[in-house]
Amino acid sequence: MSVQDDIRQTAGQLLADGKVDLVIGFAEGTLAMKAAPCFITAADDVEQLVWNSFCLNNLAVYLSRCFTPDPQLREPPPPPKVAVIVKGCDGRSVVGLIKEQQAPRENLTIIAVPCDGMLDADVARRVLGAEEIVAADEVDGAVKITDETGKETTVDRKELLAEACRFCTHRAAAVYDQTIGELPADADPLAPDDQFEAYCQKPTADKWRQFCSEISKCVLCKACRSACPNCYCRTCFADQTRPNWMGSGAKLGDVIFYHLGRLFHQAGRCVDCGACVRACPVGVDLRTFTYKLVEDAEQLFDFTPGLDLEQAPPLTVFAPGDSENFITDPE
Amino acid sequence: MADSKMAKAKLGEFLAAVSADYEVYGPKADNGVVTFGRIASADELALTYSNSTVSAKELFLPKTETVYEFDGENFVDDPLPEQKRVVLGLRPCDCRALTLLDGTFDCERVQDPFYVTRRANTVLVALACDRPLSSCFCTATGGDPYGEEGVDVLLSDEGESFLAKAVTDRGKDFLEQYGKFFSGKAAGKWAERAKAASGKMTCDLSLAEVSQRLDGLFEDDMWERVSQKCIGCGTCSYLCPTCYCFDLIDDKTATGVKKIRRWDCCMFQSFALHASGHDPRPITAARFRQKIMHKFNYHPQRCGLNSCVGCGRCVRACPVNLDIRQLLGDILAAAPSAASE
Ligand code: SF4
Ligand code: SF4
Ligand code: SF4
Ligand code: SF4
Repeated sequence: MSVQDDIRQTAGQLLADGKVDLVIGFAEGTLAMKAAPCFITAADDVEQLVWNSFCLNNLAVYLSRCFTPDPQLREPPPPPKVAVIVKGCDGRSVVGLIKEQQAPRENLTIIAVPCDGMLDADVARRVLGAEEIVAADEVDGAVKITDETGKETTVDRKELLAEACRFCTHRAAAVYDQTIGELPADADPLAPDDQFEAYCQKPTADKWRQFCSEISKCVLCKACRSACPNCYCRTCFADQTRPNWMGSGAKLGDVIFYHLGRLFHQAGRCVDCGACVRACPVGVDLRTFTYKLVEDAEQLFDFTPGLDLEQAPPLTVFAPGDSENFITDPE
Repeated sequence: MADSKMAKAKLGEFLAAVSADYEVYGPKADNGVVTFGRIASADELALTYSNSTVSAKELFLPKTETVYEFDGENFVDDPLPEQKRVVLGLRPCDCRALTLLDGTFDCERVQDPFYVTRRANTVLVALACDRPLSSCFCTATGGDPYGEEGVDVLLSDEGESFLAKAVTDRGKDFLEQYGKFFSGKAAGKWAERAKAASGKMTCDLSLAEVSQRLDGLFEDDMWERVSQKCIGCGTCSYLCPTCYCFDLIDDKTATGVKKIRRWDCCMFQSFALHASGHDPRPITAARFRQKIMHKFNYHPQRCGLNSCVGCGRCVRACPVNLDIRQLLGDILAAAPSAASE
């Protein structure tokens, strides 16, 4: 059975048995190389679910929303029972949300599916120098792409991997209730290069310069935050008015403040899914900086988020052996 | 001069001449992202793009602008943006969008001094679309890849040269002012080129009736369903050429405050939150309904037109593929009786 059929059958069964109220998965998108998050509540509708190389969104972003009822309801409904289809990155985010008490474990059915790395339409546009991808057809790792001029090009799927997927080493969820297909083992990244490492190696002053210049493109829509499963705060610090932490955005300093604030909140929590970068409407490369956080969590605290439910997040515990170099010797 | 052409080889010289009299703005590309900015020379212009990533509205409603400053004793109005400007190479949908914004910022009830000054001082030299994207749907909203609404001068890329047509008196004066760069007649070619372009549009919706259909749908339970995947990121509004909501906020200065106007968006969580703590639109479904109702029901009731020009930016950029064309299609396809129940 194909993974897609298996997903449909599993979802249908869970709904029919009344084990869950809702299945969060992917449906066919309206644009080439896009699948769209979808919410299935009736077993009859499972045919809408698809599984292909374009299921890029991190579906964990919806969990805290599912468990946050309308704040003005006098009698909020009981929390729903939710099944969620997870790749490696979604799965790691779900673990983080459970640990941070944003999604009750007992209400979740985590369905782990195998991921070969997802393909990104924006990467395809860049690789082909195209304005628009009109159609994409994948056969055995080769993707035939039609651009807006009608030109067809066949590209190795590796070249079209979403940036986060090129670097991913945990392509299967570590915590789950059901599996579909054969989950890939932890492995070397699929197609890394050293662009992020190059940033990490720079002296602090150069890092700061690169950060400021990249961030200066930002229009402060905060879509990066909205797309991030970790950014579930009921009111983000950037939106608070009493007190008002942020300036209006008229000065670069305001933008820097927002990004430093958000980045610090991600330390030891970011699973490097790339959702923030892909949501950005103006192409700010946030991943360089989140990558650094991930590397820091690994190197300073030997911690990789989202792999088990017990290990405490590094910034919530003090251990006598904790690294202090970043304070005493930041270079 | 009202209808002529300019050899592309002359573009650099033309820009230099125009720059002596005007601030020149145009589309610039950076790693596939096209935005409007000051243009110093022809090689900065990205004129082969299909549509810009961010709309040209930011030249009229900047992301942030100072309205006035209070220095501790006096209120000082920010000087009006009086400089003369030319925007080169924006698309017809963005020009049409400005005529819709006029209905809010330059109408009987309100004349926003900053907006009105910028509009009055800016010549719009638009570039017609010969290669609409599959996500463009201007024709469904009453626009056209060769549309002239809001345009002063329309250009069409003919390969070696730009055809140029004056649409308004301001456009005519502009072409006359730089007459030495234009020569010959292009008459006759326009209709044919326009027809070829509109023939490439793929969306067959007709949105004229959406407003009526929406009349009975405010309380409908569809809103929860259709907005379920929306993450409230506001990308759709920030890129939209007709979304204009703004926020007024105080920035502290050494001695007082600056009143800043900045973009806002009805999809944001805090958008409708009252000082009392009450929020009339506390959930995504209510916020999303507001967005659609404003564009396709309230706006047409107030100004006669949908507040969407079909540029397709929201379609392309929504991170969860919430496609407004699909939604509008579904609303139109629903039986009218169901809509008014
Ligand atoms: S999504 Fe992009 S533009 Fe919006 S706040 Fe984040 S970095 Fe800035
Ligand atoms: S940036 Fe920080 S405060 Fe804002 S939502 Fe994310 S975690 Fe919360
Ligand atoms: S861009 Fe999409 S997800 Fe973001 S607010 Fe608009 S509709 Fe919602
Ligand atoms: S609603 Fe979408 S298509 Fe319509 S004008 Fe705005 S961004 Fe363009």
